Amino acid sequence: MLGNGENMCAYAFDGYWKDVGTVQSLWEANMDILQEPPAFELNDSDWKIYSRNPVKPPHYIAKGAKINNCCVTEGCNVYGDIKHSILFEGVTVEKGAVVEDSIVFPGAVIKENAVIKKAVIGEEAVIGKGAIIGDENTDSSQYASPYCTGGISLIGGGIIIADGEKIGINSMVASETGKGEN
Amino acid sequence: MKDMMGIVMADNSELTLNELTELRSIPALPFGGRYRLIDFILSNMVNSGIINVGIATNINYSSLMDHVGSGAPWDLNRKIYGLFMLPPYVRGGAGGISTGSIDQLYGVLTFLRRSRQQYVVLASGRTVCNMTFDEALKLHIEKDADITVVYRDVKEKNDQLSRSNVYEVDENGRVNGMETSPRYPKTTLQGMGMFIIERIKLIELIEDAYARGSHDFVRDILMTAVNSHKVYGYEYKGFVGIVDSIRSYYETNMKMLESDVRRDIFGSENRIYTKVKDQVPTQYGKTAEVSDSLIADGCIIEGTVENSIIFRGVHIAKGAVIKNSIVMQNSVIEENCDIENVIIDKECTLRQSKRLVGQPNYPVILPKRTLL
Repeated sequence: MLGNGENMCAYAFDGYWKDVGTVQSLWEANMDILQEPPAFELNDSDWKIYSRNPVKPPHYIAKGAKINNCCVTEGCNVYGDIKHSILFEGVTVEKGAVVEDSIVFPGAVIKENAVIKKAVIGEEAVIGKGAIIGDENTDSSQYASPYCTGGISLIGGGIIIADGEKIGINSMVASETGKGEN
Repeated sequence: MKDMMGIVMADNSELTLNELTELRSIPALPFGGRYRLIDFILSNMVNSGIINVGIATNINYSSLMDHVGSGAPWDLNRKIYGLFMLPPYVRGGAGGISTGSIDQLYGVLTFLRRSRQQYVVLASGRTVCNMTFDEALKLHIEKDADITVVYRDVKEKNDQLSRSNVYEVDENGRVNGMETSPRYPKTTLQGMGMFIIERIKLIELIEDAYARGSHDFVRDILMTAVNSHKVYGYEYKGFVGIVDSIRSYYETNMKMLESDVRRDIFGSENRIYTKVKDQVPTQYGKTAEVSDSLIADGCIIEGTVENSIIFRGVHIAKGAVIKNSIVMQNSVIEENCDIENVIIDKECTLRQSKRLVGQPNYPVILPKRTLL
């Protein structure tokens, strides 16, 4: 068109824009929401973003839980320590568990004393007691994936991570871990 | 279970919760962070397979109508049957605003006659529980009962019994005595405001009572029926909260902070449905401190929340402390406020550094849209 000299115009958009096509950009876009003030304001009653709605009860934050700079939605039960993270509906974070810089998809369960660092936890995944996801001192080359870069780990939907299992950074776990499984 | 219909008696003019019910009926009271009381009975009905529900209203029902809408959240927006609001007739047989539940039921006669289900669940809209009526109906049919009342055993006598129907039930489940609002209740079997009865029989009873100039379903129909008809009791053993005063409203809300109660009410396969608002998740700031609280979507929490219930779209600013309180939709608590044992109705604003403290058994109420 340009070659033909046709009239082509450009419009400069100056709002929030993010092309989410990789695990890292998905993680970044979610973290943008946690900025204070958010890089992308979703909380606008005049411009709602509509979605499917699961109709779950309000989320519960237990005594002893810690919550700092997070986004939490209905049906969650938080007994542990969550920091700079996003919890989707129906997520459980048990006592002593720590979730940091992470996104936890619907229905996932983070068991007692598990630690999640900079990870994307898939729908209905279960992270066993005392397991560590995103452990810098663990070599998980068997889970290395070209899709997981920038220090982000990804646990697939429905995956069960065994108690005490350690998963290193940049891992993508798509099959279950631990004895008797795989 | 398909052969059953439901009628929710959405008013009880004898009960008020002061400022909270000034502009709304009790079933329209916000509850548990995102619900209204009527959600529980409506969900219980549809979870029992009921597809034909009438809501008999009397006064102040606009917030109720706004909330239930077409019945879509309960899948009651149907072509055949569905959800029917039954406001009072201003003229005609019932003579406008009703003076008792018989007048209210008289207005429902057309709806009853037009329906084809064999059985009716007649229920108040202020009982919080998650149950289906399958077992109660089974008992009703097995015993060939005329009326089956649903009750719970509160085990110890309490002041709420003196505002309830209290039953005497024999070993076969037959109700052989009842009291209503007794000063000294004979038993601890408290009615849950739910009755099962055949539709044709209910029509007859209402017509008879109305012809005799009676006004009250409980006093004029049920109490006489205990002697003249086969009235049976079905005992429900799950969690039950009955809201009939500010104190019971506050306490039933606070019960939702107990995990076994929450499991009973919200953990079942049978969900409690409510109007959906597509709000964003709640944002917790870096200064947020939250403990033992239920928090709905769309909130911004930057202060401290303890042992409280926070409804949708509430903003709690830095330095504000909320304890043992209920904060309803879209209220704003500004910096350094100190709130304890308070019920804050919808859309209130508390400017900076306000201090409000109620008693644990006597919470302070801030009416809707208060600016303090």
